[in-house]
Amino acid sequence: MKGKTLVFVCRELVLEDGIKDREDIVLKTLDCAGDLTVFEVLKALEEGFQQVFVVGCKKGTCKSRIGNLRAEKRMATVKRYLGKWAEGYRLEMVYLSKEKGQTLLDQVFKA
Amino acid sequence: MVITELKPIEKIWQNIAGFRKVLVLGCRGCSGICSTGGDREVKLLVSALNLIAEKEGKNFIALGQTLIRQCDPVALKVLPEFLKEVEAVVSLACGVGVNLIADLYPDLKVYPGTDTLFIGAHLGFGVWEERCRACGDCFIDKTAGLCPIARCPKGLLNGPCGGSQTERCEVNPEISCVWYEIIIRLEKRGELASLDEIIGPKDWRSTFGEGPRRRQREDLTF
Amino acid sequence: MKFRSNLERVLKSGYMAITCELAPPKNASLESLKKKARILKGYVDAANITDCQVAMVRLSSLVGCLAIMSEGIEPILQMTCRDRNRIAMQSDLLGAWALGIRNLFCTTGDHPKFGNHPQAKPVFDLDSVQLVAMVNQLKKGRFLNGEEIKGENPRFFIGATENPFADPSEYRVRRLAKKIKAGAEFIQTQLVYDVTKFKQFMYIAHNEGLTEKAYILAGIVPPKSFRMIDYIKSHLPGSCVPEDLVKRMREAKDPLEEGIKIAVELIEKIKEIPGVKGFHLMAIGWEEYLPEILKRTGFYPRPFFQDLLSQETKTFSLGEQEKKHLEQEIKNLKEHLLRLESLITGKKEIKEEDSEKVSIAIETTKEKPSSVVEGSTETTSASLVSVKKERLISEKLRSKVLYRSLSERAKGLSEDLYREPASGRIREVVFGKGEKGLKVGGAEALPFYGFEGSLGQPVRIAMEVLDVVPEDFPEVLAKYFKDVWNDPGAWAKKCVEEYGAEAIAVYLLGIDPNYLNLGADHAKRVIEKVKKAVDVPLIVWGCDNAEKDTEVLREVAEGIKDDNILFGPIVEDNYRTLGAVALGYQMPVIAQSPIDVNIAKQLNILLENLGVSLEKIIMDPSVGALGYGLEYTYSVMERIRLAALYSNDVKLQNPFICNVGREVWKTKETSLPTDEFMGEAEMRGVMMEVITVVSLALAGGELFILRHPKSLELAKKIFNLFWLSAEQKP
Repeated sequence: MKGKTLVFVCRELVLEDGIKDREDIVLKTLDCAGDLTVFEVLKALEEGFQQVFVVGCKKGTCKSRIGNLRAEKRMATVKRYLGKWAEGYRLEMVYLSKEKGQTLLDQVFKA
Repeated sequence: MVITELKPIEKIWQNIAGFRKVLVLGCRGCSGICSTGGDREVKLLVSALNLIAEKEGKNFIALGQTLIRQCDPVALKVLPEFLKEVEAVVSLACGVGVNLIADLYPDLKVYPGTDTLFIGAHLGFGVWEERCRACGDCFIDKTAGLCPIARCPKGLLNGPCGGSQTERCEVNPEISCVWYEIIIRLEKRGELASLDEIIGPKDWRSTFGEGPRRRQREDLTF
Repeated sequence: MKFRSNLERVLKSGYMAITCELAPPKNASLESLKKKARILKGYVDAANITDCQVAMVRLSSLVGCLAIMSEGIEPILQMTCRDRNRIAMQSDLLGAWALGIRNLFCTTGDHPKFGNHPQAKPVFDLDSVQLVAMVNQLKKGRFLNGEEIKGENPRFFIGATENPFADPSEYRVRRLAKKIKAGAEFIQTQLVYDVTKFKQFMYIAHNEGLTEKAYILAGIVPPKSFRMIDYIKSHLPGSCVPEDLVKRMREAKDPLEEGIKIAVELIEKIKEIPGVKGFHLMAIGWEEYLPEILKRTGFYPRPFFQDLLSQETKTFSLGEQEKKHLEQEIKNLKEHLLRLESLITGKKEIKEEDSEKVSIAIETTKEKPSSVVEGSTETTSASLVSVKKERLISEKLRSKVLYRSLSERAKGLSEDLYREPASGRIREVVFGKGEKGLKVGGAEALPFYGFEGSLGQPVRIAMEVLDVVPEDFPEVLAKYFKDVWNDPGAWAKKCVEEYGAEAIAVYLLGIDPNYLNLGADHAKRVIEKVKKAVDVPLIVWGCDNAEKDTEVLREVAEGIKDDNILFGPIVEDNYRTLGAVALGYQMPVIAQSPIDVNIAKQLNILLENLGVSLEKIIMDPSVGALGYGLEYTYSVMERIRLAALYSNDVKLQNPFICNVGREVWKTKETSLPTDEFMGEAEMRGVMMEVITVVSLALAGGELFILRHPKSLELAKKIFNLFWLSAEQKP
């Protein structure tokens, strides 16, 4: 899984075309971003992913109210948990609007 | 319950970096309940340690197990079963667990994976607060059930001090002044006069003891 | 009634007490603390020495107490529960009592969080109520564990604090009651800015009868700046600052002055609240403004108890060593007496020879210290055979001047150890006309403490001339003046030319309404005669009847205005009129107070307010003769002089005049005839006069009025000796 990017994404969101076709991106769909667990992220890192994204709904539009916020906190927890070993990983939360999902690729591969 | 918190992973790693096989030992007692040392947390730590070992390029493997309690020799009896080739144990129980494992298995290297914080209550998701200092001589019958030893920074027995204002503690404005609470409650009960009696100096022997404090119940020993 | 401390005494005598707070430094020097103490000396009844306040590491409170004690301020030892457990506390309390600390202030103490060592383990073994109770138990002779204290037990005057403004406010008085019940005898409240709220607190406390059980002192913090009061308002837990005070400080053009004003107003308002028994001033590094605040509020001067100095009686057993020492001293004293006797009755030639030897001896001894030892051992072992008396006397005298100077004895020691230079200086007052004018005062050190600073002018001695023929002069005195006492002029002339008086005091006894009740014309005539007969400076002394003195001296003054004659006494009752006379003719005056520091100072201030320059005032503290209250005069003069020199009290920096002669020669002892038991009559009188003079000179007296010619001679001789050994620095 080296060199690949893992993206957890909320079922509610419609992703831009092309994203599913990319070989370097592994998509995992969640019922809600809030379903993400710290363990899952750690597991992904163990498997070799260098970049993990969780894509949640825009703030205030989560169907389970705060699932997206929870996901962000979990990502932060993973970073804190790993201490100095979190360096080198890209672990990010991305909020996307349900209507236009154009920016994910930019976000993932920026810089 | 006894409230614990996971140590920073750097500190845990420091102790075990030189071993090849390490057992992370959880506890379903207090530590599990306050989400420090239950099955979930054991799994997490094992995963994280393996990840770190890989990053550090070490020949290392962490395993996980969780006991129902670590503060009881009976519960610890099964431990040897999990120790095949294991060079060290990281306990996620409170300090009692680490001590007891060290007592019972003198040849085993056991390291604490948690900091034992206090005896407290679960106030809400992810929040615990101290409510008892285990001073060994409970007198909260006089203070409307609220303990000033655990909850007043100065541990005043004849409070409040001169610093409380707007019901907040002067030392830590995050918390309310426990003596303020005590007085309001006793006043409501019409028992404020009970505070006019001077509470005398505390006998701290019940707290600091002479070595570890011990309790023995005759009808249960045989 | 016995009092443990000055503070207790002030409070129990019904005065409002003033205490203040001094913080020991954050270093290992006591200098800054002593300096603050010097500023406040005489302004406060006692001072709290804080115990690592705000949990900052500072010099020990106990040591700080000792430091200010050495500066003459009574300390209040503060003790917090933060840093000591019950063992350390009781230990410190025993020590504090043993060192003479009598006031104790108990408080829980700030949490270490607020200080510079937040990592420290907070002890809080006891809380403040329990601490008070513990101290109270020590007072009853038992340790906290109930064990009996065998021997001396500490019996502190116990203080505690209460914050009237903390929450829950209704409970505050109850907690105060709890502290009083535990044994608190005085209470210093936390800072008060909100008078209304404080009034409510005091009202409840008063109704509960607490103000009867303990003395409550209101805490005052003079605001120094807007920043300070703003900080207190927003950061100090449990404080209550009304908005308008903050506004006043914010808008003040001169914040210092405004701060003082606010403090004065607070004190004025709070002082009226029933149950308030004094003030506790916390200046927080601003001590130099406290005197100003206290002066404006009328709390200065502080009550001073005359007998305080003699109150402490110490019992001690006489060891063998002390006994021997005492015997030796008595022997020495007898030898001295013999020597003095021969000085008075003996031959003149010997005396002169002796005094010559004196100066020679000084020079030789400095070169050959070994001979000193020989000489002194020889003299002490010499027996007092009367035949050899004369030789012995000369030897004795020599041994006396074989005085080793302080600088020699203290060789190798740092000067700071024994030198403590004064900060004030005594004014130099001149009386008499032109070149013949006599200067008095000018000292910058305690009397004869030449090693500490300039001694100013030497001691001056005047003789007394009466305006009428004296009736009560004992024969031993009368015989010297019988031939001249019909004529004041001739009398004065004899005093000056024959006996060497440096000035003449004309005593207007005849104008006394209870005696001859003569008028101003008589006085004028007498003064005129004396003026014509001698050219030394004159002192005109009334009859000590305030009303009559006013009447006569007013008229006399016009005639003597050009001669710069010293006149008086001016007392509280006639200072307006006589002060105005002095002001009008620019004459030096005698300000007389009845053996009382406060009145002495008050009178100087009154005269100054009237316009009389302090440079023209000589103080008469009222003197008593040996055996007739000399010690009272002595201690009052000493206190005045210490205040003048070491507290730099500018209103007291005036020279003393002591009218000794008349006090001595009216005593019963001087008129008794010679007999076996009382000894020789003349010697007895002279000795009484000289001892009185010398004692008062040691207390600071600068100008003396004597009667007996021999006294004058002897006193001068002694002063010359003192002067020599005082090593006056150039």
